[in-house]
Amino acid sequence: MEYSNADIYRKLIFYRFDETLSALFPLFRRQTGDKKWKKLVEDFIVWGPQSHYVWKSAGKFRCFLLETKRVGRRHKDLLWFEWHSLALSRLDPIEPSASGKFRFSSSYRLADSVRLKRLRYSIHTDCRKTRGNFWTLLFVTRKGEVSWIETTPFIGELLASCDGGEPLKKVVGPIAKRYGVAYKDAKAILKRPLASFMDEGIIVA
Amino acid sequence: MNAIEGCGLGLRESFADEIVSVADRIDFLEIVPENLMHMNRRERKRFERIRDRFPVIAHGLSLSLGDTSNIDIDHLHRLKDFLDAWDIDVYSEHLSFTSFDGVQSYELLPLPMTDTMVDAVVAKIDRVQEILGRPLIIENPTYYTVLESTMDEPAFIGEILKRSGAKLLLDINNLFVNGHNHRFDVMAFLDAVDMERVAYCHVAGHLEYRDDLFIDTHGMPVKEEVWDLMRQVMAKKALPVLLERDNNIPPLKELMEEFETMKAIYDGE
Repeated sequence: MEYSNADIYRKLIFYRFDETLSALFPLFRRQTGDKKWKKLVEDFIVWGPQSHYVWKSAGKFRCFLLETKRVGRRHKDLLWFEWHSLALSRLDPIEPSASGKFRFSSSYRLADSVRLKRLRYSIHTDCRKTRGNFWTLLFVTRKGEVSWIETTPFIGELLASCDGGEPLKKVVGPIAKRYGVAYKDAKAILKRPLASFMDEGIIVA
Repeated sequence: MNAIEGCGLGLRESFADEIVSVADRIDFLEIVPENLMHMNRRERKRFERIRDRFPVIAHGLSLSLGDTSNIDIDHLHRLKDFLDAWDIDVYSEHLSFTSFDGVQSYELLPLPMTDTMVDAVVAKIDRVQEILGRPLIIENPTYYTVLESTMDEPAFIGEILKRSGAKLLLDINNLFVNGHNHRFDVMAFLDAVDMERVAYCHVAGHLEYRDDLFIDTHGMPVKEEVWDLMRQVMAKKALPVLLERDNNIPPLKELMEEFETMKAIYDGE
């Protein structure tokens, strides 16, 4: 049996998801053609989002795209970036740090309000063709806003290795060696950015 | 249940930072709990300031009363904790379904108006009221298609209200839109409603999608015909009334002009 105006519900549901997902994944939406986007949204609706909370449907959408292998590496990077930006925005602003002065003899780890990933494509330049190692750091500021930076591979690898176990100087050594940088020079290069990361609450003792 | 009175506004993120500046003009605020159940500390502090200045009621979106085979107990407990934590007694939902077997559409889908559906919805409302520990208020939704039904809308709603003890959130725009789309007499609908069971009213804007189909978008100013219908409702009984705007939300100053229109009608001017 075909009900009159039943088609309007198909449109309303589609527009609801289209509007929400476009707002939650603006970069991914911009880089996806209209036809493909429409198909992805329609297939996602059929796949079945299961959260009471509209903002959480963003995470379900990312899962859907990854599970059904609907996106390439570039878009996976974008989805990681946009989903974690959204998820971090739900976290509390970080408290002022009481961890004192930055020291290479101390152990550090990334704060819980930080996400770090080596992306293959740069978010910063919206570069769609050049592959590389774009270490991207997403974090919550003390004002409670989500911010991000693209850091050097050296610092990216170093931060990824900081697990709060060994003192920083022991973590720096092998990475500096791999990059052909003398330990003393590495310390000089790293001191300022790492102290700044500590002030920002990106790394915690 | 805390009594609400006067004229209220649906709180939205776009003007949440400035709403306290107009606290002396608004009698109560309505929030969507699903949008506030994951607040971070900054948002919680803002909501504390708002809660201190306004009576607040809640209007849910995802209970899906019509999905009668499925009840999300965990969600209801989270909802109860939220309502208790913020001391919100008044809670309303739509008489529709938004999900099926837990899969969300985020859209208000119509129910078949039958005895079977009345039985099932009443059973679900009973369970919801038991878990939430507060009476439920149900809203008459818009519907753009009529599923196979054995009764009309006032009879369907009236039977559910009578058997469940729930109250009615009379959405005046929805009534207007349904009356237009399905060509029924809205005054006859109002005559059939027990006004003593109406807790409060909504007004909102709609889209004239086609000559024969209006859509409840909450995305534009309230139409003059809806203000007229509000006058008719208020002539029957002075009820608390709330302005809803969900899409294409103007700056608060502009929205407050529309709010003042509603207030003037409420005051009988």
